[in-house]
This record gives sequence, C-alpha cells and structure tokens, in this order.
Amino acid sequence: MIKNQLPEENLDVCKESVFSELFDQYSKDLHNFLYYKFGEALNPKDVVQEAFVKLWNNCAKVSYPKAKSFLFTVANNHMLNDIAKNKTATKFRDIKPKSYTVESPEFLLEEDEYMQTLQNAINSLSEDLRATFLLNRIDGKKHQEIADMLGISRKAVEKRIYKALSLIREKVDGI
Amino acid sequence: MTQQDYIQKWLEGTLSEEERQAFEKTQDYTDLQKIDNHLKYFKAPDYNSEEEYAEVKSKLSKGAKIVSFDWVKPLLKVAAVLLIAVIGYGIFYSVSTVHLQTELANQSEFYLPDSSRVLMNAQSDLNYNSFSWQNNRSLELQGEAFFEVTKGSKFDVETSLGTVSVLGTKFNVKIRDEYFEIVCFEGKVQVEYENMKEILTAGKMFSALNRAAVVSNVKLEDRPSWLLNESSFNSLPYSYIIAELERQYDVEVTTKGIDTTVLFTGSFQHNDLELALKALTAPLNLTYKINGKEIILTSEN
Repeated sequence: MIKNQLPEENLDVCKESVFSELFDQYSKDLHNFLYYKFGEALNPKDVVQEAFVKLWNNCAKVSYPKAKSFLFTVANNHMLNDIAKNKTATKFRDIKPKSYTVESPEFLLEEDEYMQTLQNAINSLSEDLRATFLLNRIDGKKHQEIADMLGISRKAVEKRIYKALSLIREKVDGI
Repeated sequence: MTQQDYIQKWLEGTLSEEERQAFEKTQDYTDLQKIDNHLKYFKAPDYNSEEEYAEVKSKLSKGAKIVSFDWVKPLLKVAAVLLIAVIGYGIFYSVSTVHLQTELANQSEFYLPDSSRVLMNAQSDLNYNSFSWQNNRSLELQGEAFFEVTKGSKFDVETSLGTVSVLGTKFNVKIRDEYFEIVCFEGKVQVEYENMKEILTAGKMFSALNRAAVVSNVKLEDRPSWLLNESSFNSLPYSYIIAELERQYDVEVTTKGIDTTVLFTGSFQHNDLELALKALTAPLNLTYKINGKEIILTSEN
C-alpha cells in the first residue's frame, strides 16, 4: 500500500487509494470496539461495513482528519438505533469466552466457576465502561488511543478503566 | 504511594522496577494478574480486513441498473420441478430416520447397517438415517453410548456439545447436561468441541465442562465400567453422580443440607441399591433413607 505523501488535510476521501487506506487503519479497531461494547448479536462486522459505505457516500463532506470520528460516531449511532428498534436484543448482547485447556480434572470446576463470575461481571458493566476496559486490557490500546476513538479525554479513559476494574473485582475478588 | 496508586500504575504499565517488585508481593497483584490472564479468552473474534473490504466494495458498486426481461414464466417452471424433487427426497429421507431410546435403569444393544455395534446406557437417545447411512455414517446422540465401529468411511457422533469422528475403533461418548466426556479404547478418535480439535489415541480421555477442557490418561479395561455393571467417576461434582444413580436404579434422590458441587471420586454397582448407597454416602459422612422409589440423603454434621 503506497502511503499518501500529501499533508493530511488535503487528502481526498473520495479517492479509492485514500479510502482503502482508511479502511486498513480503522476497520479492525472499529470492529473490536463495537464487539466489546455491544456484543456479537447485532453483527458488528456488518455495521463496520455500513459505516464505511456511509463514509464513501458522504466523502465530499468529510475531511480526512475527521474521517475517524465520523466512522466511530456513525457506527455507534447505528447500533443504538438498532437497539432502540428491537428491545429483545438486550438479552443477547453478552460477550462469551472462547474455550481453553486447564491442567487437570480437579481444576475444571474451579476454573468454570471463576470464568462464570468473570463473565457475569464483564457483562454487567455499562457498555461504555466495558468497551473502554476491554480495549485497554485485551487489545492493549493506550489511554490516548482510546480517547481518540471514543471522543473523550484521556483522564476520562483512565477513570473508566479504574472504575470497571473495581466493579469487576467486587464480583470476582469480593472486594 | 497508596495501594490505589500502585494499581493505577500497574494498569498503565508505569511501575518502576522497585515498585513492581514491591507490588508483586501483594494479594492485589495476584488477583489482578489472574483477571488479566482470563480476560484474554474474551477477545473479539478475528477480523479479516481484506475480505471485509471486498464486501464493502461490492456494496458500493450495487448502483447498477437492472435490465428487465420476461424470465418469470420459465423460472417458475424450473422452481416447480425443483420443489417437487426436493419434497420427494425429503419425504423419502425422513421416513428412513431411525430413533432409539433407552429409559431409566435400562441398557440396550443394537447394530447399525454397516455392522457397527452400539451399546446404549440408561436415559439415552440416538438418531440416524438408514437411507443415507452407506454414504454418510453420521448419528446424533444425547446421553451415553459405547461404540465399536467397523472400518470404513468417516463415522460421526454428533452431540449438542461437540462432535466425535472415528475411523474404525472403540470409544465411549458421554454427554450429560454441560459435561462432555470421550474415552478412546482402541484406534483413534477426533473430538471437535467449541473451536477445539483433539485427536485421542487408546487410553486417552477428553473431558469438558462449560468450555474448559482437559485431555488425560485413563486406565483401560476392555470396555467402560458401566458395561460391567458399575459406574465410576473421577473428580466430578456430586450432583452428576446422584443423577447417574437415579438413572441406573430408576429412583428419585432428595438431598438435605448437602453441598452437591463437591467433587467426588469413586464408583457404585448397578445390582444392589443398598451397597451403592453405602459406597456413595460413607466417604462424605452422609446417611441415607429408602422409601420405596425415593431416597433421602442427609448430612451427618
């Protein structure tokens, strides 16, 4: 992929090379953000595609530096609209863990209980806390990166992460 | 620095070497590390940018005009023929589904069309299609069964928790509630569970409970203990053992003041209820009372 040489403000989003570079840069992060916030049931992959389609259709009105926040805002609104339209979706917005191996049969039950508690703790967080927390702890996103994605301050990100952790520890560690 | 500061710095990854060493001695560190280790299992599914981008592109180019012509009549004719063919096949296929079921305190044996032998334990359910068996040796199982499979094409046992595939061998499949267990007695068996694939050779057991799984070694007789009139358990929650007792003796068990999540290792025979109850209650200091088909287990404490 040839990197564009022009200063960012002058890059034309309506050019395919620019558009596809935006996709490379932001699609995966956007997907993970939607997944951590809203779960699997509302099809985060589809919503990512729709957001980029909307970007293309509005490319003349969105400048390159504003493209990222456009994508995240549009995708987030799309999800919220879907939820408002269909209230039963709330039941299926949980995140589930993948399978894994443990050392011996004796640990099977302990691990199972711990994972259940952790899963409940994660799913009982508010969506914003959950998304912020998991983007940091699982995807390794730095505080500033998350702040940019969500359009909030770095301090707000730090507070959310700490709060999410406290709420999880209440359930998991009994603190 | 307060403990809160340490935690904050740990979250950000800004602990100095000294601070880190001090923090690692605390319970907080152990707890937090455990949470982090388990969080990775909640990672978002894989995302293939190339594939997704290709789909975006195809969505963008759907502004094309549709050229209309009269394809409706010929299309309806083709659709009608296909529909009849599909319905016909469907009827033929569904008529040849074989369904076997065992009840409580009941075991059964039968042969599949390819001479594979199946022994079913109590309260089990099995479905297969005799019409398509030659081409596709695939059956559905709920409960527990022991299989002796003749050599031939792939042989699949499908359950609600996972799939077991074999090529001519002997193995036992157990699926009760959320517990999934496969023991290979001879030959090789492939187990598909969630997104895992494991191949078991003779003497290996795959056991899984709610998405956590382990492969371990087991001492083998020629066949599982339930075929020799005994049920044995290795570190399973007591509730599972009670369920198997109910199944083998057709009784109903009530417990009073007992923690049924306790792990139990042991066995009981199928031909003497009193002896079986003694074997299951003595190790845990419980007493039992028999009232016809009802059993009451009480804690002595």
